[in-house]
Amino acid sequence: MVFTKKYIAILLVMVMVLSLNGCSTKKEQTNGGSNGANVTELPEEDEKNTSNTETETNTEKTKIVVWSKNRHDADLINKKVEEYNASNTDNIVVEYQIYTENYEQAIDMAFQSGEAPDIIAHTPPAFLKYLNSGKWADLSQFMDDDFKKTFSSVIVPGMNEFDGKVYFIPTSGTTGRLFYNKNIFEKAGITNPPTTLEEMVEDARLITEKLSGEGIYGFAAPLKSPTSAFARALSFQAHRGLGLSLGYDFSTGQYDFAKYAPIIKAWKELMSADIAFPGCESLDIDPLRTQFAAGKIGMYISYTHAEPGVYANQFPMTDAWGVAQIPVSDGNVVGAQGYTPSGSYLLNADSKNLDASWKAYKAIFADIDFLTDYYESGLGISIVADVIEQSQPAQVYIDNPALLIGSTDSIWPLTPQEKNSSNFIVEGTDMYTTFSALVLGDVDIDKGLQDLSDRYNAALKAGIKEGTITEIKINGFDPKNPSK
Amino acid sequence: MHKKITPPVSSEKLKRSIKENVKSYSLLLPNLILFIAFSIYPCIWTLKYVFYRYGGIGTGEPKFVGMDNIMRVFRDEVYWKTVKNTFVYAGAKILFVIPLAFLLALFLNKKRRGNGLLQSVIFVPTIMSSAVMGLVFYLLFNVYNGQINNYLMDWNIIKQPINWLGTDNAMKTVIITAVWGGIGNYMVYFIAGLQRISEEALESAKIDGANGMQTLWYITIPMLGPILKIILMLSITAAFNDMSNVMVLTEGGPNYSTMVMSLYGYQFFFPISAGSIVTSQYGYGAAVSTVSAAIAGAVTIIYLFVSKKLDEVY
Repeated sequence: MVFTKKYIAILLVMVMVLSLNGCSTKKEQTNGGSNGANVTELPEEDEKNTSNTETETNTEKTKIVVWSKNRHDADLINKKVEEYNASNTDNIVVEYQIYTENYEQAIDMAFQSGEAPDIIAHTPPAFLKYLNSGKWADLSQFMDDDFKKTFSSVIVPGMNEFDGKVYFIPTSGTTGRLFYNKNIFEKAGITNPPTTLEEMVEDARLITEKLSGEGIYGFAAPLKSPTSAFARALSFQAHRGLGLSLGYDFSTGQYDFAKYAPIIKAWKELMSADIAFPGCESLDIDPLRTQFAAGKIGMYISYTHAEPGVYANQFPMTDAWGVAQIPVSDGNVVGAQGYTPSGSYLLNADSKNLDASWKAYKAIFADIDFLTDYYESGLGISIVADVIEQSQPAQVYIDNPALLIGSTDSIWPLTPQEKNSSNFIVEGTDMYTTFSALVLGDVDIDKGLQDLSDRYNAALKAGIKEGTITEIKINGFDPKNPSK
Repeated sequence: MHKKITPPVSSEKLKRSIKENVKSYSLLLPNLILFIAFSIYPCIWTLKYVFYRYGGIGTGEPKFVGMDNIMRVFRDEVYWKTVKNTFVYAGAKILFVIPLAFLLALFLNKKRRGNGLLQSVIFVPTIMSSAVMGLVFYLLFNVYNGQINNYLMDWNIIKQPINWLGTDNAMKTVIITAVWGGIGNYMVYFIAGLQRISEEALESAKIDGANGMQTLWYITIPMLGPILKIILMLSITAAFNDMSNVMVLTEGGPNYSTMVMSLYGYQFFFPISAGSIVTSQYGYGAAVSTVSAAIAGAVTIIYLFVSKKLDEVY
């Protein structure tokens, strides 16, 4: 009996070993392929070609690995990559990998271990972190005149161009707008969306006064995370209404949060019990959206790229929603509204196949036909003139032109705390947390804002003195034209 | 038979001791290696960065700044607010969780049908992820469609929904969640302690005419003394380090009203707000964590000292 058991055990072990060896596919293990990445499965014959930068001597093909964190456009990009791999005459094969979680940490690990991919989808934290350490390739060395002409409007000094070097080319963008429920406005007897901050407060108050009995309130903001709430709203109001970016005045080279007082005072009213949707202090953006979709919130401010898809697919909405420019104090617009560029890719400067990376990048991600498809599919709002010209935008953009990046929107240069994020050490709370304390608490607004200016200017001064922060002062800076 | 490990006196004796106890040391070795790798090394790493300014991988070389980070901790008003919050949170949690766990243990320790099942049900929150727990409580307590408000309004206990996660109530909600999450664990400790009390002692008290309360007061509680000391010590250290349910439930808000010191330190290593412009500050995070550990350690030492003195008195 014991003898039989031994044989069975040996047999089982042999079966297991053979089954492991006999697998017909193998998962690629390069680049720390765990960490939530969607790793492409390669056939057995590709097993030996596991290095992302290694030239494949057998087939004379050069493999270019691309990392992205975007899932929403994966179908279109995968299709484009497949077409490119099948048709390119440069013997380049592109491998497109999506990292759904811990993208920035995965990039850190890859650089640390010397196994960074050839092309990395741009995120502001990753770009800014490695900007000064020379990890990103200068694209201007590859750009021909045609390319420069096509993308000239999105190359902005201080945003993607530093000391004449261009690091990424944004192709789409997002910004903040006021989203409002047309049915609620009609019920409350309001004919048009507000154009001034004062009107906005009054409209929100009116909605709450008239309709709170039905559980409908005038205004909401996702204040569980002050950064989430204010970055999508108040920072854009400061561009338009104050000509400042994150409190920074490019013409004086100083932080001046004192000018935020009228906006913060209006927000304090908006978030008061007389107006705000109950529980805003603990509201995340998605629960807020569910309540807006359910017809419980009159208006809120959020990003243009996300909301149309949310109310079409994620939280289908029966009421009609509209979109308008973000109201500013007295309707006095003194600056262009900033927008966040997206759809950009960074090239790893240490890649052994930098030329091939550029070729693949240009053919796939900077191709005008691909960018047109991207825009027409509603995957992103194009900011490239040639693409906009030849495209038929999705219906939602035709119905709501305020969703598009327009002539009153512009790219702002980076402020010192964005450009030198790891060396810009502000003591005490950051600006968004301070805004939250001023809006929700009893702290004196003028004193609180002055203290904030003092702390940010102290951090700036200390960094400049130490040589870790470069002074940014733009003579003749025009907030209506911040990218020039 | 257990072999006694004799304390070494000289190098000769040490060698002999190692030779004699090689089996014991080899059994200790795997744990010792893991302990050094995952407890001692991270502590040393953290202590080192207290004296450096460092933003993490890719942000350049760490810069030695001496005592700057520690001095900043003492100037940081928000940090001291989190220390106060931690004491309120830990005090309230221990105040509720220990008596409730003890009462549950007393009730469920008796041989009664269904007690085993009840013990398991009450223990479930202990093995649940505290992040999941935080999310479930967020859904239960949210002001606009949370079930807690719905029930209270259905039963006419309240007329207007309570803002459970607002500035005034958020800490209470966090404490309720923590008590619910911790009660099962301490109940099991108490049951283990109760089962060690000899039946003879309880029967003697009964024969001597002691009623239930007298037996509880004069026999059960004093005999639970040693395990109660351990439970209290564990609950103090756990309460001072809790953070995951706070992170999910409130992210330390609104306006830092539920921010505890461990979460405050954590966010300098891993900024918690999505899209935050606050970047990692490993050096300052290490300083905050070190001062917080010293505070939690001091509280534990004071507790041990007081309990030792009480032992001497009684």
